[in-house]
Amino acid sequence: MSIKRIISIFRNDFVNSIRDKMIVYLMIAPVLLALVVRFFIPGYENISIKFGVEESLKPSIGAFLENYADVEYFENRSEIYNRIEQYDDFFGISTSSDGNFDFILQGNENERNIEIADGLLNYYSTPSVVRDSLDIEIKSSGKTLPILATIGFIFVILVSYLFGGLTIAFNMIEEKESETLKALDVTPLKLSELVVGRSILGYFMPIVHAYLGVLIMGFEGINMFMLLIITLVSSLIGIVFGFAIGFISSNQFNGITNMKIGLLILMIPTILTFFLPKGAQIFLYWAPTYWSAMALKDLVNVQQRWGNMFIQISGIILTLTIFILILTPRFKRTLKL
Amino acid sequence: MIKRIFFNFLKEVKIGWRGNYFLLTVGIAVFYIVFIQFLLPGFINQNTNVYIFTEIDFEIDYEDIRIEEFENVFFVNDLDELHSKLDKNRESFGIYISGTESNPKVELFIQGNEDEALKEVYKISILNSFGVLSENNFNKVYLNNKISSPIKMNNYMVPILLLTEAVMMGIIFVFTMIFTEKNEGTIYAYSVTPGKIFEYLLGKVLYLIFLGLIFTSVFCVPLFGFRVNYLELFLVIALGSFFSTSVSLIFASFYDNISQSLFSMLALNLILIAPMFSYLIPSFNPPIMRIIPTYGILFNLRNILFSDYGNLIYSDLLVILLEGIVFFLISSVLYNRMIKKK
Repeated sequence: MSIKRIISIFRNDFVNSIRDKMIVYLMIAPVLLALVVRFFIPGYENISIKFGVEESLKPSIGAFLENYADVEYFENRSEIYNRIEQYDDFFGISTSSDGNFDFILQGNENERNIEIADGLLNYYSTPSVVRDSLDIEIKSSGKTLPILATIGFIFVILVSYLFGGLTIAFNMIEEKESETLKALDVTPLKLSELVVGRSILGYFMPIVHAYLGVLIMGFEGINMFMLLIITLVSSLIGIVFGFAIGFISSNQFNGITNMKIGLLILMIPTILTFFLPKGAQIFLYWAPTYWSAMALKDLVNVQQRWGNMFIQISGIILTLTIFILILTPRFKRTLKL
Repeated sequence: MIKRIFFNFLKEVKIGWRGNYFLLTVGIAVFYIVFIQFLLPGFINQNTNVYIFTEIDFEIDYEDIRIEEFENVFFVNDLDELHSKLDKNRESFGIYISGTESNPKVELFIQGNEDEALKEVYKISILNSFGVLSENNFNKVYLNNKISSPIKMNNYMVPILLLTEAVMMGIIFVFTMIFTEKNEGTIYAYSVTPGKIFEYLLGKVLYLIFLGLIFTSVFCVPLFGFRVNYLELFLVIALGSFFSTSVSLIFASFYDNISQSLFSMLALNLILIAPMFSYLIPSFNPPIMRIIPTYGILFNLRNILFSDYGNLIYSDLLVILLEGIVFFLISSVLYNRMIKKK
């Protein structure tokens, strides 16, 4: 393997990326995403139980509910009805004809939210002597990050390496279309040199993004060495994904279709990692992005252990190896280097 | 005019047929059916583990404090064990009961970064579970029927897939269509014919709506049979597809090839699928999410597929239609200008 040839491939891609501003996007996109996540997702867990209360009840139950929930005030009952009919879980409080209160629901609310809302109304209805008869203290360790902050961070890294991979893919497709790739066939360049030279950018960029992501999100107590290892191994997913699309697709049209299917196959397991219970996650073991997401999830929640991480990165490598083995004959056929 | 739009549409259908796009659409739909039916579980057990340690010299009647409401309850022998259990399972929580019968004390150990209001809510939930609070005498008024049976988790994912595939199918495809035609010069050749550029673009929009409807039919009929109102479903998919394709037409006008446009294309995709998080996590519902047009589309799709959730909200559909029209008109102006420049 000649370092000189690898460097010239890298230089060529680098110059091309600067020319069409790809490199700027590649660097900025994940950082922007991290900022968006940081800005819109609260760093703490909160519930947004929402109540709509009739204006006249503002001093009584309205003021009470404001301590625990988001409260909006409405002129009359029909306005509350209109708001409840919207898509989200929203409860209404209004005076009933018998002078009592009505607790208005749409009927499709999340059961847990109904329970919480009902509990709040029970608390309101109970005399304070009784409420205070049990001494309760809440101790929060702050160890578990809000699920959305974790997903956001994983997406920052995922976007970083997938975007790197896609740059590889579309550079290759353009070269195929302009027949440059065929010209390379008659040079001494080896397949391995092409792969390494082309991967350098997409491989190292995610490390920068991972560290910036941790800084922007303000995560604490993260083992930075583990982060480095997980990111380096995860970046391989982007590289394999990029080359797979680049080799398989004969033109941009084809490339975009393959990209769509590929992204789908890689993104779905990442999202499901958070929403499927542990027992059902066996269905996701085939996906390298699942292992990567699990490793990052444990890391940012400061519960990653070396043994566990070793299993997860082995998962990434093993699944990628299987993908590569399946695709290699196709690669070789496309490019007889 | 109608005739020209129809022929433009027909041209796109022919090109799509030759490029196996119909086969691809059906293939993706079949893949999703397998995914929904066989890979995703219908019901998931999300019971949180609760670890309890008591240090009291009086008896607690656990039935009395409705402890069965917490599923997966484990009693541990000391506080250290309680903390180590919590450390091993970050989704669990712990309860420590101490004090005397006349003055009992409860400590709840949770593991997130909860804000003060949420801690208070937890406190109230404990008081409620322990039967300290009296039942409120508010009259419960339901606007619609209560949900008759819980929706299966795998079916609940269907609206998301309809959004990403049927509604947003145009986003990626329109980029490639435009780039190919820019490179081959078709779009410039068309400009010297009597056809108007908006007719040309409308042909593409209609074709992508058509593909979206094919996807919806192949995907939904095997899963839901004919108990869904397909007219409403097709209406939402068509409007959503019109909106997303029109937006993408605008973006695609600024670039000449895929590499240049990758960033915008993916950013647009990410923004438009963001409401998915409000859908999956009902308590996450910031106003910024609600102004993304796909928010209304996603929840309307849910309401159509699972009628227990409520009715179709037509005012939202009207907004999406108007937004679609505005974006489409802007795109027509942009393409006209682009051709004139050339």
